[in-house]
Amino acid sequence: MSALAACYDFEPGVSQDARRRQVFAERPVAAAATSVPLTYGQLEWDVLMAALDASVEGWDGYRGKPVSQGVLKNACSFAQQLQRGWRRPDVVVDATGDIWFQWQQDPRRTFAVAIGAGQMGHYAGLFGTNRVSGAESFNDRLLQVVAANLERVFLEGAPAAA
Amino acid sequence: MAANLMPELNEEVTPPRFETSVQRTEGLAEAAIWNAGRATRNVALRGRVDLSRAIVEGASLQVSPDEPPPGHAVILGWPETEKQDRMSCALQLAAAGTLTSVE
Repeated sequence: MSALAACYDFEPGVSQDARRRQVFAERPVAAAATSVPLTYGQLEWDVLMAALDASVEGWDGYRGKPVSQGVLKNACSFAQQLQRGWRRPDVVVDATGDIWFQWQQDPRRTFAVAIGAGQMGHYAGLFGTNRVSGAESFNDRLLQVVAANLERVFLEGAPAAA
Repeated sequence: MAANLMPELNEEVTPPRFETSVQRTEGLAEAAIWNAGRATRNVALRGRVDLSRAIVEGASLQVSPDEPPPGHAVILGWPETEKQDRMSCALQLAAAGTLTSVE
């Protein structure tokens, strides 16, 4: 079963161990996260692994909400839309069960998009003392926002972008 | 790291509020800090972020005691309307905090 197909193969009630047995036994070897260009399938794998780690209520030892089918589907779709050649983001789940894609040059030069079950992607960025935040629906405009803010993250002195 | 600082919606209080669970660490040795974290979270820890009250207040948030367990507190004052505003606060906390990986 490919990692891409596995993104859509979750069934409620299936134990976490059973889910893990549905995917490849070994993860692909990952190079440094911020310098490896995206390869089709790698990012979907990262999404799948993050979702597996956050697949039960209280996965964080507190009140963490599990990743829902809707969030997983949206996150896989977003991952597929991210262009090849872009820096590979870190994929993390937050306490509400949304999946984050975060790019970071250093803690004060970073940009993140949070994907939930709805039709909007929420984003925020920190560029030194400057900040950006907003929400866009899943269309080309969100990808344009991502592209513009990745320039700010990885290119020093990049002009402000909405 | 910022995603791990995002708040949860606590619906067990009235009114429901966004809060991030934290542990006070003043005066604790390194081992005691990790033990307190393990006791609170009951999951395999991967790391922690150290924040001062000044860092939290710099992000326009507040720290409030929330015991038991002893030393437990919550970060309050998160923007309630828009998720991206909470994300922005979380990025600020992560930028100013100190990340330590589990030993």
